[in-house]
Amino acid sequence: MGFNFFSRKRGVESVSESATATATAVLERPVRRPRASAAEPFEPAEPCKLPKDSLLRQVELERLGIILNNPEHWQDHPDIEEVYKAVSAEIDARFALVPEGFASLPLTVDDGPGCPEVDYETEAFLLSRYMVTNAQFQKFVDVGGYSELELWDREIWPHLIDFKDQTEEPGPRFWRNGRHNRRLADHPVVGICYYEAAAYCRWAGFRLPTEPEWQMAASWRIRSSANVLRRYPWGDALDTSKCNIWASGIGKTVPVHAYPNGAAPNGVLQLCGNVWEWTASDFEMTDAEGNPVVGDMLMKSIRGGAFDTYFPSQATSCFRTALASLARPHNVGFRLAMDLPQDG
Amino acid sequence: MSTGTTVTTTPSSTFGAGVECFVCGAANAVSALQCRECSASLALVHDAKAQEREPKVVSIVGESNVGKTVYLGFLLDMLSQRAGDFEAIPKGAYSIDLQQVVISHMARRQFPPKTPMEADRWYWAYYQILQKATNKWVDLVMPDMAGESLAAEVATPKTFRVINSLLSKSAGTILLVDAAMAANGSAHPDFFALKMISYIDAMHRAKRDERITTPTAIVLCKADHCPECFDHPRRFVQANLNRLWNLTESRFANVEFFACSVVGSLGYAASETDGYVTPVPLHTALRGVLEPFQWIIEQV
Repeated sequence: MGFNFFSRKRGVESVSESATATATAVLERPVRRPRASAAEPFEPAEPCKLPKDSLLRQVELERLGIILNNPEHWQDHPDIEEVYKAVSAEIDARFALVPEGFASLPLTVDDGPGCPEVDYETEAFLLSRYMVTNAQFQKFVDVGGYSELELWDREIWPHLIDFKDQTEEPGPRFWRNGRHNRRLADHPVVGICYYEAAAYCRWAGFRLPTEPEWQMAASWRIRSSANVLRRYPWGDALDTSKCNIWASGIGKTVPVHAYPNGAAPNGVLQLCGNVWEWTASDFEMTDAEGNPVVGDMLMKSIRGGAFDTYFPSQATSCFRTALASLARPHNVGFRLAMDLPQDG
Repeated sequence: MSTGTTVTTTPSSTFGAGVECFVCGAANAVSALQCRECSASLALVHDAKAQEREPKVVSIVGESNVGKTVYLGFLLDMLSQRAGDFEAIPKGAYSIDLQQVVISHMARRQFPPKTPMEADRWYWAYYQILQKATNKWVDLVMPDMAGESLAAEVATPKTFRVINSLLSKSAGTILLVDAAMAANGSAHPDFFALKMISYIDAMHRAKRDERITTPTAIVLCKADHCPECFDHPRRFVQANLNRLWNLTESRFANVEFFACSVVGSLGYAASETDGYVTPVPLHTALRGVLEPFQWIIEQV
């Protein structure tokens, strides 16, 4: 298969035109609605209709990583080649290549110039251009993702019962009756804890980015003699027309496709602002005296800032912070990552 | 020009061309920096004289460590960045000190130092606020009072004359309550708020069948620890701060409930030598800071 991860154009028009109409139609449904907030009327999303065919069902559910990583599972399917091409094209459209590079993570919460850092070398990997949306997460909820124990870390099983929406149904905290507000279909899913984000990733065949990977993607510190990094994904200067933070004056989430002018060089959107992003990494920082900073429970690193981040310095590519792993706030979502396919 | 101001000059026989403290009314020498009686900043008086109108006082009260300084600091900073529908003009550099201290500390992920008990060391903010939608200008004085001083005054009235004077002059009151502590089952926030409200009630000396009409915003702070506050602040107060709820319902005619949070995530650093635990505000996430103020401004 041929990938085109550096393309900033989204869509399948640039790739194989032989992909089946069925698979393409299922995958290519841009959802664009006016901006809305949780305060607006709640309009429950319609249940998704799933094909009976096992392979097309996975396509409809957008479990692209599962299809891509398990081709042998459907090798007898009559349309496997076409579907596989369509899935490859969609991965190409939805993911961007983050080249190998460096990430220097500040070690102290007082993270001014000269603070101690730990250096990481990151391998090339794929990162989704957009955050996971409510509409995408709905599919995970609809097929019973919350009751598939193998998707969840064993230590969290006793807490699964707490992952309820406003009406005590399994789902993100701000949903109702297991449905998202369809006005927010293309907004990032929020009200999910680290474990819910990780379970979705596993279910879809992907993973969360690690903290060094996330920082590499946002700071674009590629391996070169120049050794430069970006303060923001688009460059070094804050520009509130390129991101959704408090100073942008919006005060709520925006669709995941917004702010194309704030993209990283490889076309990944909203690494700065809109909502914080869960990473796979545990939080390890100290205060200025070297005392570890801990929380009431396991803290996982979150990165990137959100629509309510007051200080622009806290929405930069290098700012580190964390949240309790079971917290389900209104301003944290996630995006998908995956290792490079072996065949390149 | 007829001004209607009550900022007056005292007889020169007493203090030369003296000034009257607009908080407590005491006469002071014109060169004095602080009121000799209540320690209020006299810069406010000079600035009020220059404006030729008396400012309104909005008091932000609550117990120690509830977050009054952080709340007020962020509120002022948001106003000076034209948040919401407001335009704010600080009168005098002293009005900017508090927000500068709060913002510079919080940006470095430290809480600002505790407000000292002594009134002569409090920060005072004097702002002209324009609500653009209504084209309404309001001159506001907002002092950052220490929680310990408030507690002492409530326990023994007239201990801090400045607090008594400020609260009696207040055109609006914002009472901050620790929602996180209340949600954990502690009755302490309820009792402190009850004392504070009963103090204000007693100060107004209203008759039994009269209810106090001064707008009073009850703000559930640290609501990020109990997000249900944001959904239904009124219901939260009724369930978790029932004593406060009952008293406000009986005695206050113009009360509204809000939820607010400033810190997005809180960590703790424990010193390995002395075991002292320092809270670390890992990042800010402002929510509900402006709304109580907006409501107060609409009422005054």
